[in-house]
Amino acid sequence: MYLYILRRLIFLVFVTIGITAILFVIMYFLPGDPARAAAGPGAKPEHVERIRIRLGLDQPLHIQYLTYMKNLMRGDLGNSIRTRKPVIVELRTYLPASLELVPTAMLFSVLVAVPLGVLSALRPGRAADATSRLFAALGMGMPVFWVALMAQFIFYGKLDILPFGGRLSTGAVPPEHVTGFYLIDSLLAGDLALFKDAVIHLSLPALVLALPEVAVISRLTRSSMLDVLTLDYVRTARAKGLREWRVIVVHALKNALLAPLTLMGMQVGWLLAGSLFVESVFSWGGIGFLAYHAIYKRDFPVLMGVTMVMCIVFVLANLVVDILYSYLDPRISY
Amino acid sequence: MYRKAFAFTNLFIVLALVLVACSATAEPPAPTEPPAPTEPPAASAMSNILTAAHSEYAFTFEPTFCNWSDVGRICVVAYDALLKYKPDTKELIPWVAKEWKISDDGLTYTFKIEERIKFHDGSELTASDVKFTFDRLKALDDGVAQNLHAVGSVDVVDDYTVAINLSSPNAAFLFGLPLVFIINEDGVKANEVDGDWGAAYLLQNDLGSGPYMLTSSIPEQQAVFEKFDDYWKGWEGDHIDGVTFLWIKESATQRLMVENGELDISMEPSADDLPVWKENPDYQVLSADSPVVFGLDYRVIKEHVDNPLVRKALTLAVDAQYVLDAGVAGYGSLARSPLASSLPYHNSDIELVPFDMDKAKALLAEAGYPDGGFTVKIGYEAGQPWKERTIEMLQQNWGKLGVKVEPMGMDYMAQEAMQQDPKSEPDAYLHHIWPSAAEPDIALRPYFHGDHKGKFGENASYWSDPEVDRLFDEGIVEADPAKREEIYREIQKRIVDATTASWILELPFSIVANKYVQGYIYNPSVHQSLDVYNMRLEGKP
Repeated sequence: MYLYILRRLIFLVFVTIGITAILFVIMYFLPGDPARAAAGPGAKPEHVERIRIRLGLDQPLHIQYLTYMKNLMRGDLGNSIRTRKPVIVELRTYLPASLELVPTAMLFSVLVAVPLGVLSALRPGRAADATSRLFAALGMGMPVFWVALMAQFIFYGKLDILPFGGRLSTGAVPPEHVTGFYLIDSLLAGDLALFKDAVIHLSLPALVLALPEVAVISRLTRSSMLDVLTLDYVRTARAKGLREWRVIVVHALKNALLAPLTLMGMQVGWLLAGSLFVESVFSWGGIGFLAYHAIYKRDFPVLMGVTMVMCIVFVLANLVVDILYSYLDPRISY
Repeated sequence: MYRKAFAFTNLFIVLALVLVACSATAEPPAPTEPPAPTEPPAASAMSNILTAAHSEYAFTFEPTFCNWSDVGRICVVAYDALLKYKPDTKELIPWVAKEWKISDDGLTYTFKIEERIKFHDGSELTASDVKFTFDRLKALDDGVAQNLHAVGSVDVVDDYTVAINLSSPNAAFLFGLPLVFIINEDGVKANEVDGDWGAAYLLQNDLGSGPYMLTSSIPEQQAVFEKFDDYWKGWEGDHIDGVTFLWIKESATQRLMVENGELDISMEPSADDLPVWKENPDYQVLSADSPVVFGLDYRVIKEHVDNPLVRKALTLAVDAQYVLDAGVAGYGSLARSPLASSLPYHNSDIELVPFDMDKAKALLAEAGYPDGGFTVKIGYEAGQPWKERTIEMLQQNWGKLGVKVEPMGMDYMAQEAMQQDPKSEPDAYLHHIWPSAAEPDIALRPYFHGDHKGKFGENASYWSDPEVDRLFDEGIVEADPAKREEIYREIQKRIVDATTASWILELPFSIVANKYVQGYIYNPSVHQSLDVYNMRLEGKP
């Protein structure tokens, strides 16, 4: 197992190098001048040229890439063209917000989608199945951006039971930076009021982000469960006189989860990248927001940094899934 | 069992690795104050705190970048500048500098500064801080430094007198000063890391002397400022105790928050919502003409629009009133010149071009195109309602002349790349003239001087006139305001006569505020800013 993990981590290095190379070429040929964007409004041409030289943008593509990789080996991701901050500081600032939001959304979606999928498989065509189908239609059919605005309108604007967005209440002082995760940092600071505030602020964006996942995972769990329930070992388990819940939860579900689990691994990366719309509506300063600014301002170093993080998270999420496989199915070993 | 434990151990290791990767190994910029256990502020505590929402996050609290409007609004509350622009009289008034004189050769500006100004750390603002501010900007060569290339050196004459020496006379120099915010020299030196002039520290802290000081911030969400008790202008009379800037991307969310009483000012209301707000007696729409002029720039190097008669004919077929009504809900005003009426030396004698389809058709025939028969490709940044409405209007009106409009929506950076390439497709661009300071030379020169042809955000029309270039060069060294006014009025006249563009609107800057917000005045020298110190909250619950 350890060898397998090591192999995957080495694989991650090559994936990262490949992605940086592809991204570098794409960004080089994108229309737009990062030096001009960095110079700000009304900058004189000579000022723009000085910035171009300072950023190394006057060099040929291969020199720029080699310089970037050389710096990367030293852990230097460069400085943001827009904010001039080191990219590593930008990532440290924005990534924890996303890593709080995305796993919470994933947790919500699993907690809702798996039972819903199981119930709809057990009672096809009944109320649970209809609910599952409704979720699927709503979750997949409505743009997440619109759902976010509607959720905000209902829960904040009309019912006034949840905040409009943000990670903390207006005027609240954030906890001292330890991990950047407000949930963790507020607990470390022993500030339960702030922890509660952070949880409340997290709930609505996480629920909105979870909705499309509920749709996909519940439908996949349903179809997977329907397949498993017809297998011989399930019939045998029932014939042995095991209680129905035990047959379903311990025997059938465990196998049926393999397919949804694979999907969840894939979806984590997508959620991280796709959280932009939710972050935008809920003023959630996460990595999606960072990517948006980077694309708009052709902030190549930040975009490279964000892409690498996405890549690492994606590979790690799938590594976690692989490890979980061996728990769910003892026949799988590495 | 062993197998499960093994799997979970591995899972734990991977998750721990992720967590460790996100925790700081190097110290991130610290908040200004060590945070104390916090309860969200109670409503009553907010009764004299102004809460305003913007759509763009201030990525730093560093005054070097206050030429960006998202940072500039922070500078206005946390810092002071030597001079201030007075919007209602369009003149510069003393601020940190209580008086100044200009040498006969126009090369040395000597400023006497106020003797009672304190920075937020309690230290005194002296001439040395002013010199340090200019030296720092020159060294960083970034942000507002671009307006200071004429500055050769700065000398401290005594503790409260500073002399700025220019390398060549520059009549626009003073107008760049409202954006040069004085920074605390000792504060920068105490927080300098690896010769960064305190830049890392200023990402999350302020080192100013302004009426409000930064107490905490959350990226992309909020920055909280409290009043600085020792502010040199004092706190007698009615003032606001603090201001919280929120960054809310969506105007729909800003609207919800205003309606829920959580927001006092929405800085970017949707134009479609403005009539609704106006009808509601609980709120007020505060609108002013900004220095931003919106128009259709013709690239005079392209076929058809290289003919001045064609440009004049097409301009006659521009229904600017429609764009004013449908694009910005009637706020703003029709543009007659590339220099906005809110700026000094605006030529109000220039007549508005009437919307006259018959004349347009006749003129197009005179130009050799009685039935039109050509296409104009128009590049524009998508997503702004006044631009979308303009495209619709042009498609309809020019279509009646037989001229086909081909819209080319794109993002800002793609438009930049196209404008810099004379061979790129568009024949015209929907374009803003967006001055970086409230001064006519700074406002017009980049867009109309021959030296700026083909530069993004500058002379995108590729038009030039040697006489206009000469007038610019004369105007920048002319010290007599009356003569300068004459020069810049003539420049505007020549530009409009050449029809380098169809000038459409002086864009409004509109905000929505609760009715208890008083004292707001739009300041074109620091776009989208709030002069919170001179505002009041009368009867806020």
